[in-house]
Amino acid sequence: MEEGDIQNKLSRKDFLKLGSLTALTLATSALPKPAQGAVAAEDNPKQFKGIKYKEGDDILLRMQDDLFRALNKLREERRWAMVIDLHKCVGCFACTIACKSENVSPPGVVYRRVLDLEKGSYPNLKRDFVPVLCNHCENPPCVTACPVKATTKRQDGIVDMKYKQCIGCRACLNACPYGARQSDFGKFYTADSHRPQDYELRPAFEYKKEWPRQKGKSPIGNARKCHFCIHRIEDGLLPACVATCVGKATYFGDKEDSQSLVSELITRNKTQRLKEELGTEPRVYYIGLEEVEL
Amino acid sequence: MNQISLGAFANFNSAVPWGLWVSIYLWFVGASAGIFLLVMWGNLVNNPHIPKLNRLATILSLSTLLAGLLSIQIDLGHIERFYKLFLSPSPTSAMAWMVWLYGIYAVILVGTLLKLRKGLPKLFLGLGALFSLAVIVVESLLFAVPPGKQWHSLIFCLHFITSSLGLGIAAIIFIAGALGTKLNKIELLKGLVRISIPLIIINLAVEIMEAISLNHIGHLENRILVVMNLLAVILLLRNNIGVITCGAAIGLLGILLSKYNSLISSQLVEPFKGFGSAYIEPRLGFSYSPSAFEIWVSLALVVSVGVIFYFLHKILPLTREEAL
Repeated sequence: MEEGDIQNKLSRKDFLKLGSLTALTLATSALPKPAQGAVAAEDNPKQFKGIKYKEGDDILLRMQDDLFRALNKLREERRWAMVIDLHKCVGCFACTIACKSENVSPPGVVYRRVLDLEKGSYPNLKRDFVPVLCNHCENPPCVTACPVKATTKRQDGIVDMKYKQCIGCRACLNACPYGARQSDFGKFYTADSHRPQDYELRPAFEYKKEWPRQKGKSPIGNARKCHFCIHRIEDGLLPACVATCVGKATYFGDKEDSQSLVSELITRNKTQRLKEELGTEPRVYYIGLEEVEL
Repeated sequence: MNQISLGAFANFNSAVPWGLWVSIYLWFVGASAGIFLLVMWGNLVNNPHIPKLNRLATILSLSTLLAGLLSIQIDLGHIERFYKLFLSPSPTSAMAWMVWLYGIYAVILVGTLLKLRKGLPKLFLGLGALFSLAVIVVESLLFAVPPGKQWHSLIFCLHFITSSLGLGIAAIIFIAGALGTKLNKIELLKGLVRISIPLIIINLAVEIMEAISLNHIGHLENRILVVMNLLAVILLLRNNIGVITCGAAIGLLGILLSKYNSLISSQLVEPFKGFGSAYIEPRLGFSYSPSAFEIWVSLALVVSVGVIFYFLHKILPLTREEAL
């Protein structure tokens, strides 16, 4: 009997605890959500701690800190942008290779290529390197052209692809004025060997999902493009091309954050964007583009 | 291996994503809308010749529309997802609009076939003309709206309209010449030729304007197109039924070449200097010539027009022989 009484007492205690917790939960959910400093649960459940860096440290550390600060905001409050300093690009193509490796892109799919342009004649010769990629335009013609809403503009400015929605009509390829999109025709680099090599069969993790290369399955048959490495940045990593850039010529961050390196570079330098006259409002900014003949 | 769509056997690529099959699609749908627009116009203004071909022309219009939709269907990377165009169309996309327009337009074509025996009311004729024109205009917007390509011009839209009318009249003459059996056929053909000559000349003028605007005027393809148009006009002006029919066939082929030429040549322009050579891999190059597979499939698509036409004309009970 005594034992039963104890159990009853505990149950009443638990009941009271549960009741007060429920009341607290209901009360807090009725409160208005904080606008700043909150994290959209569906977007990023993590809170990122800032990195201590000092003047003279590697710029990657600063960009990493910028990235964390941006990720701690709501998605609609950040606006991803890239800055490419053409004075620093050495034309090593490491970004192209890093991108291909990161996204397991097959033959005929390259999200980031580097234009190699020669100017003048010997001995007064100049070579310019201009990396080109998806510009994640503010007014993207590809989004307008897509007949099935397979490509959309996210709140943070990234133009993304919904692979399973894409019908492979390639309207977006022709709509893009930057040639930034390619169609995945299901090719393999090692198709002529006895079997495709494992490195080609490993899944890509684009758009935070696993995409194994299988016959008839997306992304084969789809349009593909640069996505600013969404799967990396939302896990607190810089895009593969930025992390790999040998000349430290590529910068990435939140343009809405006045403290970020990209904001600082855009404000302090004379930046240009590609084909600005088309009104697409690209989000990739170039330093030194005026010296290049495109 | 590991390839799904028929595109894997074609030569189009990421730089030239639309190839021969899309040209064939534009040709068929342009012909369909052009034929039907002329039929509607002919009945609205009581033209003495075109209403005699109401049934044949409408069946041909429906046949070319169906073959056109088949040609665009096989061009898709994911054919099995075609239904998404109906389930989640984007209101900003000309292609999504086109799909819905084709649906309404096909219903109007079938309705016309059913109504022909009792005569077409004026309202129906007006509606038919409006929708066939809408098909042409919206199709041209698919190319003219995106700012990146040379297609981004009003001339391109105008060319779609004139080429559709050229295709329409050439197809009507061809079908009348090839299938008609009555003795007064030469009179009918001459009447149709009188309508065709200004349409072909206007289309040629717009083609030349387009070539000038794209700085393509000296190109061999454009010279061939001019010669084909002129040859078609010369043959159409003869008194022989066979020669007139050949002239119409040359006119049809000329417009196919013109559509192919403007479709491909604009895609061959690199967005930036050195873009094509920046990363060299298969399916990235700024060059295109159709593969044997593409050509065979295209021929099969042309044959499919004949098969669909035969089926609708001879087998389906809703159609009867034309009283030529």
